[in-house]
Amino acid sequence: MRRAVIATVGTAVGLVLLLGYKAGTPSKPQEVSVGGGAAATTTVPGATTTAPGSTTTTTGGSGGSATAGTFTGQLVDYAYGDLQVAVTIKDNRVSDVSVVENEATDPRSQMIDSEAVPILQQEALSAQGVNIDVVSGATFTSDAFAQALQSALQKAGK
Amino acid sequence: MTPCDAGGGLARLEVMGTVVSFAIRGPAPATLLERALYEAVSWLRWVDETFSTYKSGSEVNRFDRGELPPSGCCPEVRQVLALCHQLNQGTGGFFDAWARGRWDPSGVVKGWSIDRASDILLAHGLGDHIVDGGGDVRLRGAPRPGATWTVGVRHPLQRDAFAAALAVGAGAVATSGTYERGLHVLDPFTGRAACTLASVTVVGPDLTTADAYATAALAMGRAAPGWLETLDGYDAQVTTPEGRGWSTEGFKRLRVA
Repeated sequence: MRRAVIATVGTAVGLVLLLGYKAGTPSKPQEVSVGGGAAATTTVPGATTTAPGSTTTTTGGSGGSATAGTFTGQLVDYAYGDLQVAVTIKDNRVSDVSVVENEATDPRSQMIDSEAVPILQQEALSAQGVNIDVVSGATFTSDAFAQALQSALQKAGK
Repeated sequence: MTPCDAGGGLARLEVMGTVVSFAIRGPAPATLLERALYEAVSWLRWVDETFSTYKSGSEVNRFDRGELPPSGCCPEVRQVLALCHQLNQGTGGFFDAWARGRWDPSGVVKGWSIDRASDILLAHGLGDHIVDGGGDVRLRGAPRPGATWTVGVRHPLQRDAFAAALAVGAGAVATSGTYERGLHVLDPFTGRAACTLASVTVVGPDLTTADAYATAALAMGRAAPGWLETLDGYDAQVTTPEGRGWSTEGFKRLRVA
């Protein structure tokens, strides 16, 4: 089974690096392909995306107070699909995080997503906007989830 | 050179049967980020070609089939061979790259190559970063000045829970479990799949060792806590399929949630 997985991903080695600019500098992300040899031109469609103008860190909600309501973040592409989350703010706290869209394009990824995404949601709730930087033991989606969540939290002013 | 904020300096690469992702923080020129990532990515792809047990012409397979003497292998293969022996001894035989009847260094190569990729970023002056190899992570520096990286540890049994959230200044966090890849770790002494524990997470200074220790502890089963407690500089958490957990005192101190 593992052999089949390697065969699938081994031919599609590619990388797109997107550099998000700080707010206040030009807001379009710069797309840079990184790679070497023959596979340098092979880019996984929608490989990695940073939402325009966003950064992946949060200041942990110091100062700013969030408006009540539900805020939907931007659609974030990642290696295996698209992810979009919404946060609901009530009494200045995150009361719910829901996945609006999670379209994984390959079956293995769907399987992993169905496990990983609910866990990441739970963490967003318990951390109340304190960022988890990375998840040990969960593969593929943590960056994408962090970006999608961050985007929603920014809209909420959190 | 365009100055840019590397807070968005994310990159992702499919390699070694998993996804390796980079998150680089702190201000850095785009050209520097590109150069450093190019080097790190090229390194990982070279490792994949050289150490693959699935590609019949890889150096590891040629060595395993006896077509290459150790002296004919590149220094990196010889180094990994030495690491396999060291880790086998350091784990009482429970980390065993020969458990499947051939030399399969995959359990060392992932952590080791990610440690080296992190070294490459550091050598370019990019000292604040995460390199994540399918949920096994190497961290350096900080996400922003004065802050500490926060690592969530996936709960192996509950899909909607974390087993822990840890504040990790610098180092590595490796989790070996039976929930995502199935029963893929063998007890080298019985030849059977290890199933006594659901997962083991090891935190330590480097991913090479942390990952191998997590794998060894999973193979040890019930004896794992007693062994993990003897390790200097490494902390760990163990969960059982019944939902029970155990962790070292040092691991508890790292917890923020």
